[in-house]
Amino acid sequence: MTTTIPIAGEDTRSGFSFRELFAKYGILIAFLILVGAVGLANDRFLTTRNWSNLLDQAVPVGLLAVGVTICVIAGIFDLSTGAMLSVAAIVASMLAATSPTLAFAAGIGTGIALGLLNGAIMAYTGVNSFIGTLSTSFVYRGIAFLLTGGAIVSAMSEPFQFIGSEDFLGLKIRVWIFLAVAIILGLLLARTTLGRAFYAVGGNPEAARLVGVRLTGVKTAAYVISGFCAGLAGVLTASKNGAGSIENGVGLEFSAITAAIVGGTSIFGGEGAVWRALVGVLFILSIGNAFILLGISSQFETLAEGILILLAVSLDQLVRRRK
Amino acid sequence: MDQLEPQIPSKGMAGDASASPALLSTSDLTKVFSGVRVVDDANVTFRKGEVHGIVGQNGAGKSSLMKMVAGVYKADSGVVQVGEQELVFSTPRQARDHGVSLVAQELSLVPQMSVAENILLGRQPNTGGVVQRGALRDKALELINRYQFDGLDPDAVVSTLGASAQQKVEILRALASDAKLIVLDEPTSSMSIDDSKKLYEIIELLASRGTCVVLVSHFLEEILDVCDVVTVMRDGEVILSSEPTEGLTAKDLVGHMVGDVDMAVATERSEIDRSGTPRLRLTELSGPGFADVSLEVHPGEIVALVGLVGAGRSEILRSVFGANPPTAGKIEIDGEQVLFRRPADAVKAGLGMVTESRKHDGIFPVLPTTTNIAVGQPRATSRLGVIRRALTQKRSSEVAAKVNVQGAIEGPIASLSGGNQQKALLGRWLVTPPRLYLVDEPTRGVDVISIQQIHELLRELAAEGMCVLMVTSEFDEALDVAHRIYTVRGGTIVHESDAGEADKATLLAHAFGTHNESVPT
Repeated sequence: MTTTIPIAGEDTRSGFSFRELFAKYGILIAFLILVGAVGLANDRFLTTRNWSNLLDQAVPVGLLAVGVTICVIAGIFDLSTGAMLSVAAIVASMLAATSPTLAFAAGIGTGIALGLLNGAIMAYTGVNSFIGTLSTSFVYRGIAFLLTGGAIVSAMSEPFQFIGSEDFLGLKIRVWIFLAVAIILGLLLARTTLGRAFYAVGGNPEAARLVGVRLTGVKTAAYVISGFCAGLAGVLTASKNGAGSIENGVGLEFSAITAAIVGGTSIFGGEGAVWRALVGVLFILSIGNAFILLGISSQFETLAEGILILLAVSLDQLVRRRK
Repeated sequence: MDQLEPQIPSKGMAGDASASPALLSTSDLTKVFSGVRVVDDANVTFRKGEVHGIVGQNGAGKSSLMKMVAGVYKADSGVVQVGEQELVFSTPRQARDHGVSLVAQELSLVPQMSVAENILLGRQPNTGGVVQRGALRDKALELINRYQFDGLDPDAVVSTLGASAQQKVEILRALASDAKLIVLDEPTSSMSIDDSKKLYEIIELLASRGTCVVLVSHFLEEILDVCDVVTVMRDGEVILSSEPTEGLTAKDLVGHMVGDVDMAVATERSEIDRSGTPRLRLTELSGPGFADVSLEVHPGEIVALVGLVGAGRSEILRSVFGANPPTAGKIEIDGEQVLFRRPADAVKAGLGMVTESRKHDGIFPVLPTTTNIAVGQPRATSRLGVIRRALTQKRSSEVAAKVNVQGAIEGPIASLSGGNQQKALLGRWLVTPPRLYLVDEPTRGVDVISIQQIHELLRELAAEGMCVLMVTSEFDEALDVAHRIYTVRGGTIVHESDAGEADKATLLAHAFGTHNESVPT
């Protein structure tokens, strides 16, 4: 393979290229093929009801994936999202009977505060984000335990549960909230100077510093956004379940990172997008869904999921390397 | 392979080296980088037991030549002769197997490991993969004693050692692999005088034991002191090959390094009004790598800091920009004292800096060229933090046109050629003209046409009233574009000249510290 070096005055863009298309949208194409194949094999797969259901399942992990996508682009990890979700769900549930509005605000506020705490700890101690947020995930889980003593906190309040359980235009209200947040954060990432700073910091931190980007500020912003997403995910989980518990969101931080990476956000930072997180989440969820619909024994599910994810990311890697 | 036979010198002793047999010689060795012959038909002979100095200006090809000898670079043509064999090394491993070892400027030790482990790295005595700690230590100790590297504790952790001790470890590692020729690339550039002295003693000891030590260095006096023979390079060519140092002076060496044609005097350029307040004034500024630097740059003026690599020029620039804040002294911009603690503050005050290593701390490789241009001055193309895409597109295209970027600017910047990447980086600060434009090696690793375009750009910007402080290792470049030139040596300014009165020989003499011997014309 040869690389052409642009010669003076010559435009090297040769228009449409399949390789470029695959490099950019490979995961989307793989997802569409999966959807098409399962759709052909089973006529219950491509129904509004099934997808409304799938999207509802996607809300908590999807929100975490969107938040963590921004972190990964900025070159950091957030492994505390599952724990933040749990704390937020518990805080919201505790207040649900008093005031649903307050419950929502407090749940989301909890997520933001814990995200800010993450940012402050990493900035102040200089601890690597992977190990740092792994530690705070235990701390936050511990707080959740202290708040509840391990018991489930009921959130039996009709107005509080409304958002989590009612439909609007064929989809659950919480799905609309999720999509709206995803679009807003997608725009933030793609269209604002802060979004650009995330890419810059993750892509080349020293260069970013030298063009006047404040590294700690930008990273803290990423943690806060991730905390916000986790807080919202916690509130929406409590609202759907009518309860908050220490069991909420266990292990979900890993599903979220997996989804982000499967979607094509680079684990090395500096590259990625919010829509990729959505595709990644739906890709993984539809594999599980397909197993149920096709009546394949669920014994194989985890194994097959692992293999398919591995296939998706290695294909992506292959196309990128060829670039 | 693991035999550590002592290399008993047959007779070769320092000072009497030319009489000893050739260990290795290069025959028409050539290396071409992007069309430039950085080493051109080099013929040099290295003998057993000699200390061999290699000198030349920045970019003369000294390091490239020795990297070919050590297998770091593969020669494009020519061969290395070892005994009867004609060889072309393509990996350091091959060179090592023939007894050649290179100790690079950046040491390649594992800081967390002990001295013994580092010395025998990759060749630890083991049984089935399990390292025999006792044997490892014994072997290392044996080497330390054989070469009388007194005071080197095999159990010490490398990160706790000083610069010269770390060099010793590197050298012992080379000796452990039976090196007969050891290349030291600028070994003393970051060493104290004491440490350098110790290193020279070691070098002499090695030579007396039959090893050929090659010293690539900028310090001419030291070369003359320590080396038996010297090779001078200029523009990739070997000017003086394996010449005995006896009777040579530093001035002679500089003469060979510069050549006859280099009396070129700066080209004519516009008058600068220096009566007003300077845009930038440094007063006795000190910081990491430089001390007591005072200088002025006026609006419309291009001022160059020239000198040898490692003289502290980039550090001055970075200090002004807040990348490594200074420790003492004063920075004034337009008469107002400032101190930037981080680059963000400097950017806010209207400064821009282009760094010397575009890959390392310049480009954002996967981001589009347009973004790479716009990222430096986000306010110019955004409103309330929201990027104005059409405006970004428009402004960055204008800048790309101004700096002559050729290629698709919507694509990732990494897909552009080096020259175009560099021009785009220069454009990063030109969306709105900066008050002070700091450029570090603006034409490094750039093709000839781009160099001209960049020079033209700098002149144009100055004519528009911009104030440019430039670091360059190309003396011709400084003479070509700068209005005023400061020569930096050992972290301080040693000479200042107006472009009209400067010539390369004088600048070089100051950069090398031989100005007392040379007569400025």
